[in-house]
Amino acid sequence: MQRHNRATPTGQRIGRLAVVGCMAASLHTETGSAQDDGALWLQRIDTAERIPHSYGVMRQTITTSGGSLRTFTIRTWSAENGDVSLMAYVDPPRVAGDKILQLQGGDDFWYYMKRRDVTRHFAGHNRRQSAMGSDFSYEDMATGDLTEDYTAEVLGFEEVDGVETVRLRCTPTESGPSYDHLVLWASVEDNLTRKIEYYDEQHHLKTLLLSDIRVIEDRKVAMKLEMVNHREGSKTLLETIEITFAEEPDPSLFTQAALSRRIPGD
Amino acid sequence: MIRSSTQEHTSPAKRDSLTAMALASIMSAAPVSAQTVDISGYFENTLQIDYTVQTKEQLLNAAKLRLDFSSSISNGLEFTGNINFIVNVGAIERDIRPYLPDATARELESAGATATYALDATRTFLDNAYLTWLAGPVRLRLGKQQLSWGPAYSYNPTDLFHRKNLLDPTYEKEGVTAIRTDYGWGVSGQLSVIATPAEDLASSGYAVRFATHVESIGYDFAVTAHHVRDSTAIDPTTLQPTIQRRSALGMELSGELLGLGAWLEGNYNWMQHDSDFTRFVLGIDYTLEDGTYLLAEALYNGRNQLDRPYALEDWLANLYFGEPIGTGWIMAGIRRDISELTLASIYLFATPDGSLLVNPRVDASIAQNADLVAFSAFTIGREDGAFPSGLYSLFCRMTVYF
Repeated sequence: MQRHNRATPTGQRIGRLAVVGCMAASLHTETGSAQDDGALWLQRIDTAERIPHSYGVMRQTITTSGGSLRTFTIRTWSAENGDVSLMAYVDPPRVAGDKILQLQGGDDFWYYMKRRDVTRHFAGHNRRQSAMGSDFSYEDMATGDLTEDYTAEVLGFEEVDGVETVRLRCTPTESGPSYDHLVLWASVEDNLTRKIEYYDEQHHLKTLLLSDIRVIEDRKVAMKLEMVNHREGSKTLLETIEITFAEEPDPSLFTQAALSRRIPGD
Repeated sequence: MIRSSTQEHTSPAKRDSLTAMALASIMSAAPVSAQTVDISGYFENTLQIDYTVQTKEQLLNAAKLRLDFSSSISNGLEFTGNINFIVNVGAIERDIRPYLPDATARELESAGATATYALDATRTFLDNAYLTWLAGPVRLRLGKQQLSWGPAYSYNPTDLFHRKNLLDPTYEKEGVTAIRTDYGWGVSGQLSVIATPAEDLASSGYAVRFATHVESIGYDFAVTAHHVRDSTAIDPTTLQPTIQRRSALGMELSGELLGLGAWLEGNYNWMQHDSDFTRFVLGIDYTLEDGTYLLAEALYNGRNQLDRPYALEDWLANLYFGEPIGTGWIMAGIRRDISELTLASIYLFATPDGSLLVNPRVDASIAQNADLVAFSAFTIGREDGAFPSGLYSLFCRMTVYF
């Protein structure tokens, strides 16, 4: 069940990617130098991936270990550099109208179930649960700052899919996510994340791969995010169908009261 | 016999215990949209099997079609509603005595009261139908609508308009005809004022809820007040519902305590004829790192006599109106994914009188727009406890959404 929690700031980078529906960076981002300084790299990545506001449409496809598919279409809005976001399920009918509101970089979130006209405020620990049966947890979808949620150590530099990347070991701060640590690869050139591995104390749990990077409104956008769940043998693909950074969403969208209202364009 | 005549508890609130579940029909619901009218909904089939030593197995099959409609009439004005069509087949007429302790059943017989209960073979009803008018932070909602309050899972003391089914507490509840105004501020501040019309102003129901987030302690906090016409008690002499005014002052609190989710929901009730009483629920929950979810809740019910043998009128209020019996219960639950698309859970309700209700459940997504839910309930422990031993029920529900 979902309970309220105004926990300490957490959230993690995948959230910015998943909720906003893309990974974006200014084309004019300064090329990062290969410094052996984890904190500096986190700061660069935060800066490169910070999106003031956005609106997008995404398709989420869950592939189970048995090969079953579940596909969702989701409209997303974000503002305040990703600190607030709203996801509205459009399809399939089973979940159409359900919404997830995140505030404070994902520290606070609400789930609205349209059929029952009920809103639930999630407690901090609930963020570990799977979001809509996907391989993303609510925690994964949080949108906090890397620099607040992790300390980092540079492990080296290597190529990922032909891109020169820095490899970082990220350890959650006390207020950070529940993983033991992450290993993150970010492009040295544009500081954008290309891959993340998630670990508990003993196991490699999940891997996030970011691909199909395109330029949208002067920003680089990863149009595909795939989370592979090594424990379950399943994976979830998040594809951006439409994305714009042009217009700031109405702030009233990011309130609990707005969850039970129709959203313009519905 | 006694039929629900409650104004405030609009839904047939006899589904709050295993007994009630065994007697109640299964209903369900879904969503839609429509100046273009959006239409959606679902079809659902529920097979229910109940067993007691006296009745042996009894089957009930409920086929339900829910059609949802919604339309944006103009800027700020919306219509939302749904109609349910239900066909019940099987053992729709039940004897309630097997669901009572033996001594209570004999008392019912000697009182000469009817001991059977019949479900409608077919039922068509407007479940929800309301207009919503939005003007900035103000929302006015007119019509049959959901008025659910309270953070508790298994039972909501501050919700005097709906009753949860103890075995299926997240299931939809029938709407209540009301005039409701909400004023919202900030992220989660809300003032709600509700009126449920009856024959005249004096017999109508009224409720107010003030909710906010208290930043300094990190908790959501709400105060509720009700003044309603209550018919959830049974007159011990006539065995008919007691119609009386009920006023209640309640509180909700939910937040985090030592890393656990924590909540408190309760109220004090002033009754026109019966004794005043307190009722509250205290709960905690936690999610382990592997996603396993743990939940515990305790209900204190000060309305009824506190120990066995419980009075006949308390049993009847339990059967027909879903009122808790005895002092309350402690509930513990665990929920966990057993595959990517299947969720398993089990809930145990233990009472101070030594009776126990076990409620295992599986929820599975079997196709993109199809769910299968199976849950059961059985009681063990004292024969005259709040959950009398020897009751078994199994429910299988398949739902297809469109």
